Amino acid sequence: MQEIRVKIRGKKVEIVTDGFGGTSCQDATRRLEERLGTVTKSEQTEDFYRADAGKVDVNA
Amino acid sequence: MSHMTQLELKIDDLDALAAACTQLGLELRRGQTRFAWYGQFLGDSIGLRDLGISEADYNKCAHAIGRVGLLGKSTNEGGDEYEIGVIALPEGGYTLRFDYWGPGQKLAQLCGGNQLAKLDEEYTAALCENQFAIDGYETRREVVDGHIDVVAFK
Repeated sequence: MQEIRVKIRGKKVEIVTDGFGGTSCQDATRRLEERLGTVTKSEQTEDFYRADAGKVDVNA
Repeated sequence: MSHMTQLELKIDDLDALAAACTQLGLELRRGQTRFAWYGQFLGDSIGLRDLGISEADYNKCAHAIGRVGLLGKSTNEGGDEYEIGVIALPEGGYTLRFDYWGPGQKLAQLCGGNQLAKLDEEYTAALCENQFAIDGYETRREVVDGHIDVVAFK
Protein backbone atom coordinates (compact mmCIF):
# COMPACT_ATOMS: atom_id res chain seq x y z
CA MET A 1 0.00 0.00 0.00
CA GLN A 2 1.16 3.54 -0.79
CA GLU A 3 0.78 6.06 2.02
CA ILE A 4 1.41 9.81 2.23
CA ARG A 5 1.28 11.41 5.67
CA VAL A 6 1.07 15.21 5.90
CA LYS A 7 2.01 16.47 9.36
CA ILE A 8 0.60 19.98 9.86
CA ARG A 9 2.33 21.79 12.71
CA GLY A 10 1.34 25.43 12.54
CA LYS A 11 3.07 26.94 9.52
CA LYS A 12 5.37 23.96 9.13
CA VAL A 13 4.21 21.05 7.03
CA GLU A 14 6.09 17.78 6.73
CA ILE A 15 5.28 15.18 4.12
CA VAL A 16 6.33 11.59 4.75
CA THR A 17 5.77 8.93 2.11
CA ASP A 18 5.90 5.18 2.33
CA GLY A 19 5.51 2.33 -0.13
CA PHE A 20 6.56 4.16 -3.29
CA GLY A 21 9.16 2.86 -5.69
CA GLY A 22 12.16 4.99 -6.69
CA THR A 23 11.27 8.64 -7.33
CA SER A 24 7.54 7.95 -7.71
CA CYS A 25 6.93 9.43 -4.24
CA GLN A 26 8.18 12.78 -5.56
CA ASP A 27 5.78 12.52 -8.48
CA ALA A 28 2.96 11.69 -6.06
CA THR A 29 3.58 14.71 -3.83
CA ARG A 30 4.64 17.29 -6.42
CA ARG A 31 1.17 18.77 -6.98
CA LEU A 32 0.49 18.78 -3.26
CA GLU A 33 3.73 20.65 -2.57
CA GLU A 34 2.83 23.18 -5.27
CA ARG A 35 -0.47 23.87 -3.55
CA LEU A 36 0.98 24.05 -0.05
CA GLY A 37 3.80 26.45 -0.77
CA THR A 38 7.51 26.79 -1.28
CA VAL A 39 9.65 23.79 -0.50
CA THR A 40 12.11 24.78 2.19
CA LYS A 41 13.67 21.43 2.89
CA SER A 42 13.80 18.21 0.97
CA GLU A 43 15.21 15.17 2.63
CA GLN A 44 15.04 11.57 1.60
CA THR A 45 15.07 8.95 4.29
CA GLU A 46 17.49 6.05 4.16
CA ASP A 47 14.68 4.01 2.69
CA PHE A 48 14.71 6.26 -0.39
CA TYR A 49 17.93 4.65 -1.43
CA ARG A 50 16.21 1.31 -1.04
CA ALA A 51 13.62 2.82 -3.38
CA ASP A 52 10.56 2.92 -1.18
CA ALA A 53 10.19 6.04 1.00
CA GLY A 54 10.80 9.79 1.16
CA LYS A 55 10.28 12.88 3.30
CA VAL A 56 9.74 16.53 2.37
CA ASP A 57 9.17 19.67 4.47
CA VAL A 58 7.27 22.63 3.05
CA ASN A 59 5.95 25.93 4.31
CA ALA A 60 2.18 26.03 4.59
CA MET B 1 -10.01 49.82 22.63
CA SER B 2 -9.97 47.80 19.48
CA HIS B 3 -7.31 45.34 18.35
CA MET B 4 -7.03 44.35 14.74
CA THR B 5 -4.81 41.95 12.93
CA GLN B 6 -4.04 41.01 9.37
CA LEU B 7 -2.54 37.56 9.02
CA GLU B 8 0.36 36.25 6.96
CA LEU B 9 -1.80 33.31 5.92
CA LYS B 10 -2.45 33.33 2.19
CA ILE B 11 -5.64 31.72 0.89
CA ASP B 12 -5.81 30.44 -2.68
CA ASP B 13 -8.69 27.97 -2.45
CA LEU B 14 -12.06 29.21 -1.18
CA ASP B 15 -13.52 25.70 -1.17
CA ALA B 16 -10.78 24.59 1.22
CA LEU B 17 -11.38 27.68 3.34
CA ALA B 18 -15.10 26.89 3.48
CA ALA B 19 -14.32 23.32 4.56
CA ALA B 20 -11.95 24.62 7.24
CA CYS B 21 -14.63 26.97 8.55
CA THR B 22 -17.14 24.13 8.79
CA GLN B 23 -14.72 22.13 10.94
CA LEU B 24 -14.62 24.99 13.46
CA GLY B 25 -18.31 25.93 13.61
CA LEU B 26 -17.89 28.83 11.21
CA GLU B 27 -19.29 29.58 7.78
CA LEU B 28 -17.80 31.29 4.74
CA ARG B 29 -20.15 34.02 3.52
CA ARG B 30 -19.21 34.31 -0.12
CA GLY B 31 -19.63 37.72 -1.70
CA GLN B 32 -20.18 39.60 1.58
CA THR B 33 -18.21 42.83 1.08
CA ARG B 34 -18.07 44.19 4.65
CA PHE B 35 -17.24 42.35 7.85
CA ALA B 36 -18.38 43.29 11.35
CA TRP B 37 -15.85 44.80 13.79
CA TYR B 38 -15.57 47.52 16.43
CA GLY B 39 -16.27 50.13 13.79
CA GLN B 40 -13.50 52.69 14.25
CA PHE B 41 -9.76 52.93 14.74
CA LEU B 42 -8.45 53.67 18.21
CA GLY B 43 -4.97 54.14 19.61
CA ASP B 44 -3.76 50.69 18.62
CA SER B 45 -4.38 51.14 14.92
CA ILE B 46 -1.01 52.62 13.96
CA GLY B 47 0.20 49.39 12.37
CA LEU B 48 -2.79 49.26 10.07
CA ARG B 49 -2.30 52.86 9.02
CA ASP B 50 1.31 51.97 8.23
CA LEU B 51 -0.03 49.30 5.92
CA GLY B 52 -2.03 51.99 4.15
CA ILE B 53 -5.37 50.74 5.43
CA SER B 54 -7.82 53.53 6.25
CA GLU B 55 -10.60 53.30 8.79
CA ALA B 56 -13.22 53.50 6.04
CA ASP B 57 -11.61 50.65 4.14
CA TYR B 58 -10.66 48.50 7.10
CA ASN B 59 -13.68 46.20 6.93
CA LYS B 60 -13.97 45.99 3.15
CA CYS B 61 -13.60 42.39 2.05
CA ALA B 62 -14.31 39.97 -0.78
CA HIS B 63 -15.97 37.43 1.53
CA ALA B 64 -16.57 37.12 5.25
CA ILE B 65 -16.42 34.40 7.88
CA GLY B 66 -18.77 34.26 10.85
CA ARG B 67 -20.11 31.92 13.47
CA VAL B 68 -22.73 29.60 12.00
CA GLY B 69 -26.20 31.12 12.00
CA LEU B 70 -25.20 34.36 13.72
CA LEU B 71 -25.47 37.59 11.74
CA GLY B 72 -22.42 39.81 12.01
CA LYS B 73 -22.96 43.28 13.46
CA SER B 74 -20.35 45.90 14.37
CA THR B 75 -20.16 47.57 17.77
CA ASN B 76 -20.78 51.04 16.29
CA GLU B 77 -24.03 49.66 14.88
CA GLY B 78 -25.10 48.36 18.27
CA GLY B 79 -23.94 44.79 17.72
CA ASP B 80 -21.37 42.47 19.23
CA GLU B 81 -21.04 39.69 16.68
CA TYR B 82 -17.80 40.19 14.79
CA GLU B 83 -16.63 38.51 11.60
CA ILE B 84 -13.36 37.71 9.84
CA GLY B 85 -12.74 39.49 6.56
CA VAL B 86 -11.37 37.57 3.59
CA ILE B 87 -9.30 40.24 1.86
CA ALA B 88 -8.32 40.00 -1.81
CA LEU B 89 -4.61 40.56 -2.40
CA PRO B 90 -3.31 42.56 -5.40
CA GLU B 91 -1.11 39.64 -6.45
CA GLY B 92 -4.03 37.19 -6.27
CA GLY B 93 -5.39 35.06 -3.47
CA TYR B 94 -6.65 36.30 -0.14
CA THR B 95 -5.58 37.00 3.39
CA LEU B 96 -7.62 37.28 6.58
CA ARG B 97 -8.25 40.31 8.76
CA PHE B 98 -10.28 40.69 11.93
CA ASP B 99 -10.78 42.65 15.12
CA TYR B 100 -9.93 40.31 17.97
CA TRP B 101 -10.82 42.61 20.86
CA GLY B 102 -13.95 41.98 22.95
CA PRO B 103 -16.53 40.16 20.80
CA GLY B 104 -13.74 39.16 18.43
CA GLN B 105 -12.52 36.73 21.09
CA LYS B 106 -15.49 34.49 20.29
CA LEU B 107 -13.89 33.98 16.88
CA ALA B 108 -10.37 33.73 18.26
CA GLN B 109 -11.39 30.98 20.69
CA LEU B 110 -12.89 28.90 17.89
CA CYS B 111 -9.87 29.47 15.67
CA GLY B 112 -7.00 28.82 18.08
CA GLY B 113 -6.11 32.35 19.15
CA ASN B 114 -5.60 35.77 17.67
CA GLN B 115 -3.45 34.41 14.84
CA LEU B 116 -6.24 31.95 13.91
CA ALA B 117 -3.80 29.04 14.09
CA LYS B 118 -6.50 26.35 14.05
CA LEU B 119 -8.16 27.88 11.02
CA ASP B 120 -4.76 27.96 9.34
CA GLU B 121 -4.19 24.25 10.08
CA GLU B 122 -7.71 23.29 9.05
CA TYR B 123 -7.26 25.18 5.79
CA THR B 124 -4.02 23.34 5.07
CA ALA B 125 -5.65 20.00 5.92
CA ALA B 126 -8.59 20.74 3.60
CA LEU B 127 -6.17 21.69 0.80
CA CYS B 128 -4.43 18.34 1.23
CA GLU B 129 -7.68 16.40 1.29
CA ASN B 130 -8.91 18.14 -1.87
CA GLN B 131 -5.68 17.40 -3.72
CA PHE B 132 -5.58 13.80 -2.53
CA ALA B 133 -9.18 13.29 -3.73
CA ILE B 134 -8.17 14.63 -7.16
CA ASP B 135 -5.23 12.21 -7.19
CA GLY B 136 -7.43 9.24 -6.29
CA TYR B 137 -6.40 8.68 -2.68
CA GLU B 138 -8.59 7.88 0.29
CA THR B 139 -7.79 9.94 3.37
CA ARG B 140 -8.19 9.90 7.12
CA ARG B 141 -7.25 12.39 9.81
CA GLU B 142 -5.30 11.79 12.97
CA VAL B 143 -4.80 14.28 15.80
CA VAL B 144 -1.23 14.22 17.15
CA ASP B 145 -0.38 16.50 20.09
CA GLY B 146 -3.30 18.72 19.17
CA HIS B 147 -2.20 19.04 15.55
CA ILE B 148 -3.56 17.46 12.38
CA ASP B 149 -2.03 14.65 10.36
CA VAL B 150 -3.72 13.96 7.03
CA VAL B 151 -3.00 10.40 5.91
CA ALA B 152 -3.64 9.46 2.28
CA PHE B 153 -3.50 5.90 1.03
CA LYS B 154 -4.34 3.64 -1.88
